[in-house]
Amino acid sequence: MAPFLRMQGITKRFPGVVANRDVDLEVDRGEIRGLLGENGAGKSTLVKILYGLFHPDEGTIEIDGKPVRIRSPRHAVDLGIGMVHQHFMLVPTMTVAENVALGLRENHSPFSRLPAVARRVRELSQRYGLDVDPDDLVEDLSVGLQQRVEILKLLYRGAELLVLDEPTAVLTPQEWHELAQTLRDLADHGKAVIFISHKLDEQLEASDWCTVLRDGAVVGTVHTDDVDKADLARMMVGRDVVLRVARESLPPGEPVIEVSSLRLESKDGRTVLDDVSFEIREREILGVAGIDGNGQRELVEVIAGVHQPSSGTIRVCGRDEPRLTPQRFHRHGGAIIPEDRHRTGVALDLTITDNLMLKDFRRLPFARRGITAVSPIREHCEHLVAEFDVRTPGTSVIMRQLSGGNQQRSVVARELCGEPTLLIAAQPTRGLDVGAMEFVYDRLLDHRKRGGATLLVSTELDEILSLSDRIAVIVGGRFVRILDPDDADDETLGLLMGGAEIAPG
Amino acid sequence: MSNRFKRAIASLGVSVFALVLALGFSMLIVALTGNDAGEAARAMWDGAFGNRAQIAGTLSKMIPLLLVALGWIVAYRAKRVNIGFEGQILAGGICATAMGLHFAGMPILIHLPLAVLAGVAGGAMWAGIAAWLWARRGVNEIISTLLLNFIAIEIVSWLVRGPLQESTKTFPRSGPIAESARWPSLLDKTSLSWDFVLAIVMVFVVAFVLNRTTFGYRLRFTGANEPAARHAGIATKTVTAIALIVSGALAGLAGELVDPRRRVHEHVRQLLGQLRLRGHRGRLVGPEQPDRVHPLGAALRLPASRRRPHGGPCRGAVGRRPHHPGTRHRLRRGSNVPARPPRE
Repeated sequence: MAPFLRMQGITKRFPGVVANRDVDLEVDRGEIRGLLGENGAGKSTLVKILYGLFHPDEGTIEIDGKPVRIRSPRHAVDLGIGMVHQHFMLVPTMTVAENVALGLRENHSPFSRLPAVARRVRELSQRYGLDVDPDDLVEDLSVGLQQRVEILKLLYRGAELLVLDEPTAVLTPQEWHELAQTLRDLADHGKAVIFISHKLDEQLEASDWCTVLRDGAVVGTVHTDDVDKADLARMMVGRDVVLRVARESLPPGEPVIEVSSLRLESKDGRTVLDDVSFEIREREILGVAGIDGNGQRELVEVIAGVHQPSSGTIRVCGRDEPRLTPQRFHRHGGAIIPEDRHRTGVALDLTITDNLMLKDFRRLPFARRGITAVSPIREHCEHLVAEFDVRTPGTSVIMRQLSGGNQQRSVVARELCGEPTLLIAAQPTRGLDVGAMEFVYDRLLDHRKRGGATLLVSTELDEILSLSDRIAVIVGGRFVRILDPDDADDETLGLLMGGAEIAPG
Repeated sequence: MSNRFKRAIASLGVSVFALVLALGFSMLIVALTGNDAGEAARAMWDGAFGNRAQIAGTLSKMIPLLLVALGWIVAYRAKRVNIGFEGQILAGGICATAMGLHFAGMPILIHLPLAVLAGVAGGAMWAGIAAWLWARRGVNEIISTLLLNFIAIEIVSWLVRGPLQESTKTFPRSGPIAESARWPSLLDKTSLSWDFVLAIVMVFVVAFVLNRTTFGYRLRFTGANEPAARHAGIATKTVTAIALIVSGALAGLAGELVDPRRRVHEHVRQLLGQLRLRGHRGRLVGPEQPDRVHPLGAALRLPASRRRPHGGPCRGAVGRRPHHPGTRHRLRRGSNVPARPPRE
């Protein structure tokens, strides 16, 4: 029998780049197929073709042995293809059943069929072990449950093939394990699943088969029982990758930043940071672990001087800083790799040069009496681009034209070039592939070796565990615990991040 | 370098395309009225570039538009939309005129720069109101600059009937501006004077400030990504407010160049659309019928007219664009386009 999905010889060209080159992909019912590849390897282009958002320049798609031309997402849904997007498409103030009913076409009567929808949702939820109550409000659900609502929406519409695009970025480790189980259940019920992730562990755990893409072409398809992480990484990047970080132990030096009883209230009176105290010494990395949105961004912005704390004190290099501003933060040798590089990291419409100069444009030799010096700036930027391996045709290229990984490299280059004393690295590898991740880790460790202090904020537990000298867990704006990395593992951190009370061990 | 070159070619292409499109449509409309589009085009060409005096006239009409365009660029690079150029032109014009009416008898080397500075200050102050409202109170600058236009128009209207009215009190217009506050002629027997050189210099000054100074860098980064600039320690509110003020200052400079001397009424009318300003040599004049003034129309036209060369010299027959309802409409020399009846 023909597999449920067969894509053959798919080629998609964009101006100046071939996003997919002669890609073959077959996925059968009952199978979880992983799609693995670096940023820009062509994973999303491929599934966008499958979902009818792009049309292939060459190649054919067959569903159940019948050739099809997928015209639109609607058409894809009719063919039994469903997609869970990275960002959920849910209305938070509506119930699960209402969200599922939104956009349904079967309802031709003017009257609501919500009770029937709710009944069927409950039925589906039970059959696939999803444990979702159709009458719950979406905003009351955890992120993991919201993701299941997305899956329910697809099942309700009769999806036979479910495509999950980077579904794990927002999940805690526990939620991820539950998702993996859900995917397995779906496959056991005869659904086909395509699971996109550039995280090797997840591919090994969840997928049966894994198709690796590089530069738009298929490198190979392997059974996940036959390979290990190093094999996958090699296929993906095309060379050996050191995945474990070699962090030598270094004696910490003088405190660089001391924070005590920091408290921040938002404009509407909510407490977003509560009684946060810590210090970071030279040659020390303090990892802050937590689920997104538990006060990490606010913490980073207070330390960087963007917001004034409601109360509490900050001492930088032994000096009290009652009114820290971004300028003062920089003057003390502070640098920041922001979590959202498009919002606060780079200006997409300015050139690489303009973006690289954001921290240093005021000072000699780049500016003298308010007038910028062209050739020192050019030399400096060309040097940075070479040293940090930013892949760009030139420094006068507009930032938007670079891939995400190269944009991040430019940010890292800008922030680390002045040998900062204090580095805030917020989600420094978000959205990066292993090659680029390895690069960022090396730079963070170089910085540590040079004597710099680092505040590392991340939702990636692996990253926190392998880089940090101490780990703080932040929940609801409070540091619930500061642990030694030797006493911590995925599970303990995951539970603490999820708000569980655990007595210090 | 080649990137910059490509971008320059691309933006030039847009301008040329807009120009061709506008001309095409104008000619189409002429043809639709049953007249000879070719002749109309020839008349427009003659009016703009027919002889030395007309080229000079076209260039001199370009001056205030060029300055206003620079003002737009400065504000827009900081991602602010200043649509209050009319108000800022008038504010600059008022201040420059006031300066030009008084202190007569001073040497030109002192009086003229003073008048110029007064114009710049007037425009800057007018935009400064909007800048202050934006920075302190969060008032949208599009709304505030637009509404300030109305206020400026009313103020001119009052001034030319009150404090600044000519001594004979005959017409709503100011007395003649002192000779020492007028720009000397650049080309004999034409309307082109030395302010043309000033305008061209300003193009290079603005380009230099934007691209080669730390202030320009702050401004560009603020406009391109305000949160990122703020996080990097740039005082983005101050920078943006200054950008708006500089934008107004350039418009104020345009006002200074528009007003003192005989070009006054022609330019202001073109810039302000239906705002009918009529006057004689070197006077500030007010609208005859303030109730018919509609600056919004002019504001909408401004960005388009910025790219067009001007259809004619200051006096004599003019190929003015047909969509100015209040403007008398004639083509020159044997045109078979009928003259519109004068406004009722």
